[in-house]
Amino acid sequence: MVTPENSKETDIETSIIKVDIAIVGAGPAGLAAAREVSATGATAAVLDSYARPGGQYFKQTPQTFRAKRPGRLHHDYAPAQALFGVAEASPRLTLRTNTTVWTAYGSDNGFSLHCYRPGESSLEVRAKKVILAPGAYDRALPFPGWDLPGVMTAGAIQTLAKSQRVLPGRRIVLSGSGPFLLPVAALLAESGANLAGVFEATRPVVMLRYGSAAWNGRAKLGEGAGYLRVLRRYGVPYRFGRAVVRAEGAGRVERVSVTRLNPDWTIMPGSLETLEADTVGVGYGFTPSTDLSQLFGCEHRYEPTQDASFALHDARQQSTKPGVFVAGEICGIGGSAVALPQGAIAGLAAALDLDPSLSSKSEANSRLARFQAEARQAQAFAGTLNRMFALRPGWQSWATPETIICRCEEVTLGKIQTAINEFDLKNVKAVKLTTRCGMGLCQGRVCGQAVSSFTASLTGRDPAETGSFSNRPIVRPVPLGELVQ
Amino acid sequence: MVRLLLANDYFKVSRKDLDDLRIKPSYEAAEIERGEPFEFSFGGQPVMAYPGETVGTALLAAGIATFRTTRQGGQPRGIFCGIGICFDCLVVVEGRLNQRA
Repeated sequence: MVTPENSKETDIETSIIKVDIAIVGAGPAGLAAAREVSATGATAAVLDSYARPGGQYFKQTPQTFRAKRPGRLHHDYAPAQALFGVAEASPRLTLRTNTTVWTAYGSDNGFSLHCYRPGESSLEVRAKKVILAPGAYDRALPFPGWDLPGVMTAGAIQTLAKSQRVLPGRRIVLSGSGPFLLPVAALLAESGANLAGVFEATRPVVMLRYGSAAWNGRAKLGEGAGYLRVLRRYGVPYRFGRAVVRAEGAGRVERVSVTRLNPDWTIMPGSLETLEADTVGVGYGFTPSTDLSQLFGCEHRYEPTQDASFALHDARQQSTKPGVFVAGEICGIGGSAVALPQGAIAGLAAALDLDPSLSSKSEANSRLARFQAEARQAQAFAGTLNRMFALRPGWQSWATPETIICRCEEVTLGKIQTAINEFDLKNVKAVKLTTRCGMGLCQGRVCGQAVSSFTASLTGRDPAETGSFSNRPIVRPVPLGELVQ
Repeated sequence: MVRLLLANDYFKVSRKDLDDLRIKPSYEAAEIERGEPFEFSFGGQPVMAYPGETVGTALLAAGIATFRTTRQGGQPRGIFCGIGICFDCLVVVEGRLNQRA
């Protein structure tokens, strides 16, 4: 059972809850895990930084907006509703929103997760198993002017329009690569936005190469076709092999430069056109949130097609660290179609490990097999999309020496180039220590992959060798008072 | 300073903000019903907000894109990631520093 109690060790109040399984993230993977855990009779705590469950994919409007038809904002709302229902109804589940895990560790007695809750006492969750389902965030590529107000990620635009019901600006341009641009564009068009253009960097000829493999995911292709119909209905130009490579304006975006791209994404000379816009949405795929899995010491592997490192796991979603399970984007970018079955597998497997005498063990195992088949099929299609829309290295030529790469510490590409040449730096950690890039509040989440890519190409090495920023014992910024406790 | 507006006040404010960036009712697919609006002050400028909105939403809706300037270059920053990752959108809320808007 869930047993809230107060810590006796200190005078300062810290709530402690003890559960069988701690689940980090209340998106599709985390909620699916919670559903399976609670069905086996085990207890779980689901922890999420946001005010309402759902993660990015099932993001809800604020409660105070009293949405009468929330389903209209989602492509596939029924599974979301079912999962929200489980989280609310099960007495064995504790859902804690506005709760950010800032550090965690394992010991012989299990795992301990320390959480920060703004305006509330801190929370420690003790559990026998941990499921990490922290999701991912947009990958933005640096270009001149990408730090001007008005340039934001496609995910930010989706959150503003879908959850907050506000448009990001008066005249919007979207630029990026991958299927995520389409639902964001359709959402804007249907919300009455002035959408001046959607620019997909990948060229159609590359997409055709994967045509037959993509056929396996025809249900998802149908969803994409639906978004394209919306764009056509609203007269929104959707163009391939192009990208926004510069944003300009006094204090905020006023105009952008769009260019045709060569197959390697370098700028095609003489193809520059200028568009007036006050908002640019950029989204070049996603970066997984691996800070907690790094902290737990799970092994990760660099995936060149996605240009990111993902947590390794077995067929039961267990990471290389016993007792730590991983599900969803942290294992490879695949969206909710992969996250839902992977979360379910992790939940079932973690619960089965806890209680080998589980009464319905055979039933649980057959459920496990079914989710595994579902996950494999969804992964195959996700893999095709990831290869189709993979970043081409020419994006590195969009930035000039004056372009800020690390937004927090305001480190320019020129400074990184000079440091690498001058001190003969070989890896990302050395670049960080020399230039301060990645040392700011975002802890390298935004610039990390870019710094890694630039370091690899400037040193002529492989991104797998140049590495990434080191992991830290404190994975999210917290007030000092929280540490004292 | 946050204060609730009376209905009459709201009418005056809404005249001014008629062209704000909130999604217009004719496009409101989810049929949301926002609560009573209130006003807060941002750098001395009055800004209208509805319960449940983030500070960032209210500022953006009022056409304010720059929330702060950077420490070194003094460059403007506003909403970038929108999901609490990048810390570009930091503001001071009632004396509390470094709050994500």
